[in-house]
Amino acid sequence: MQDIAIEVKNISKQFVLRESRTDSLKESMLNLFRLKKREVKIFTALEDVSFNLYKGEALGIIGENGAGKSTLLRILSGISYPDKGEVNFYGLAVSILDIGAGFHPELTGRENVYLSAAIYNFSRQKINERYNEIIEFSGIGDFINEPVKNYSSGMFLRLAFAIITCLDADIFLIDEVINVGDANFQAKCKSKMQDLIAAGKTLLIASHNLNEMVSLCTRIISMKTGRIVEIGGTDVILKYVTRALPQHFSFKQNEFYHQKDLPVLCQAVNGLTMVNCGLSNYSKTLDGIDIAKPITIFFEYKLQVPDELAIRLKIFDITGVLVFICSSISCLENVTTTGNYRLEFEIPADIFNARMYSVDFSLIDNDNERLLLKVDKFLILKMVEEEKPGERKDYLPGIIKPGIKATLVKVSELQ
Amino acid sequence: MERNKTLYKTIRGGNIKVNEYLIRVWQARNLIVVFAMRDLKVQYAQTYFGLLWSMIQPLTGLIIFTFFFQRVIPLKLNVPYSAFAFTGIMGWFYFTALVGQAGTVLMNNQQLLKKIRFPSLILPLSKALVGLVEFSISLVILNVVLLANHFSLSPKIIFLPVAVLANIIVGLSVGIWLSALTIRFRDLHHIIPYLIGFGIWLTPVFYPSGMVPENYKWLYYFHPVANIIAFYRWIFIGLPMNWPQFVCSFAVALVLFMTGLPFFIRNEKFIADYL
Repeated sequence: MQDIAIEVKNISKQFVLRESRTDSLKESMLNLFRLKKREVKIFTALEDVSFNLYKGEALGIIGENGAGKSTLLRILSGISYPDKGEVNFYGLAVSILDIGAGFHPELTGRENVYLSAAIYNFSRQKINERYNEIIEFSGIGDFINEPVKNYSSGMFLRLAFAIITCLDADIFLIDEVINVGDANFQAKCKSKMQDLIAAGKTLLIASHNLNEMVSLCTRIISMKTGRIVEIGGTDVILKYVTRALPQHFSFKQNEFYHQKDLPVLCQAVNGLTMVNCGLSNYSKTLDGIDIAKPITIFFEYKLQVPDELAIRLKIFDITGVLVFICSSISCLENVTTTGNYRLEFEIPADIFNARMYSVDFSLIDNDNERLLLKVDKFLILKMVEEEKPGERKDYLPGIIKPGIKATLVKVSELQ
Repeated sequence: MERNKTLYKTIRGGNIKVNEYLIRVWQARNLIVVFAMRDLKVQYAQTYFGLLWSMIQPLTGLIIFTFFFQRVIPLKLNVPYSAFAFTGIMGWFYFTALVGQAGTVLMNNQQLLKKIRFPSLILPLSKALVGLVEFSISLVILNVVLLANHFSLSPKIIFLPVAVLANIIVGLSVGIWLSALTIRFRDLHHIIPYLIGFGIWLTPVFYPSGMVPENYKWLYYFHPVANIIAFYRWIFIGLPMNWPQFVCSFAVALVLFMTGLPFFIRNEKFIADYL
């Protein structure tokens, strides 16, 4: 039995939506005289959320926007209050919901260091001890005596983050901080968090960066519309990435891909009429499309005018990272006359990882490189890796999983 | 494995307890100074005259009132008008600074309140401290005015801290109510400047309370600011003081303060949600 750091018991939180909120004096006055009270619209941000955060673990919270991650962290930080439920802390917690929140643009870097320190409730003595370390870490040198408003955004972030690294607590509640700044800065944030984990601190991290979460966290909470869907190891992420979907969307029975009605959307655009499109030649497993088999995406269209029209697909992973682009530009020389055409993109096996991908469709006039039509998320694919007997199914980070061949041979005996 | 089982703190739904909250404010008391310093630095940063600017407002008030009520519509007083007017200006400006600043301070620090946890009561309190610095500067001007009018300091000066404290409490009592209310009712944000603008006509700042018709005078029993100004005048220029009236009006302010504080604290729950 591990020691508990934070015990979250049945937390619920509701918000009264702005349109039905009596924000103004006028509304309050009118309400006094209204016989029929206006209906109050309520949004449930968190519903009956319970979990334990154990000492020394890094727990990640994932979920779409609006799943309640930030609300939960704000409640744990003591900034917002729950309607129901209770949170018990067995250790000093500090929350990093934003960096540079305590900064005032008119003050100098040095003044802001002391100001932030005071807001975060450090003693002046402690900040004096660490002052040089902060300046060094931020690397802003002589600019420390300049007003922060004159800083570049990078300098601002570095200084703000340097202060936060000096926070001393047992439990760290971190919200999306790692997703700001350039790659260099993010790497710095990540290594700082790894330091914290190595030092035996307890972390609760909310983020959209799933790959980050896999490498940092030992346990994952998956949330959806204010409820906890699942708590478990990093395989929770696997389930999340193969389930998390845009709204208003459902798979056809046993199809594992969703497709917008392109023939309707793409009618006689510059003489091109889409007749049919979709997947052909793909291999289904029990719960998705097999990543180990090739996939073909095809388009059948009528060409009334022999223009240089190219179809381009952009494939994104569920976190919005562009994975690759394929386009029909290279085969346009075959198009010289009107007629019925069939275009196929064959995506080889062992490219995709086991997760969701979305495909944006665009139609381009190759003569003047004009975008004629764009259909976002025209196709959504649910890719899975077929479970092989005796092999543990686990979430592998990475937006692709190319079939890399590893060979290991013994070259010679030890001398 | 029973390493550290001590409960550090608990967050629960339901109302915030006033006494627990006040303890938190006390623990974070050095933040009051930090925010006050921040505001003073920011307010006067990059201005050539710096803190001297805070003299300009009371000084212009003094010049305008003195010119108007000595030259244009002369008021008959048995004390020098400039000394009379400035004691009024001092008290009134401190009061309005508290109402105006404390009333809007939560709105102006939204970003902070939404991201970092600290008791928000700290913010209006820090404004009281900023006001105190500006008040002290106007005390310097007052000294010059008193010297120019051949006043000498009376031993009554020992009551000054009492008067200032009363001034702060009166200002905060209104300020705290307003700052808690502006979060829910944004309209107040626009109303506050009008309240302050009208208020000076209802307060004997530039005219003596004696000029008010007899059958309205009872209203001063419910007007704490008028009595605090009278208190300053009693201390500095030796005007008579109506003590029962002071006590009664101050009691009104205290009631306002003692009800405003729990209201403010109860509202803290909603601050992050409503901002």
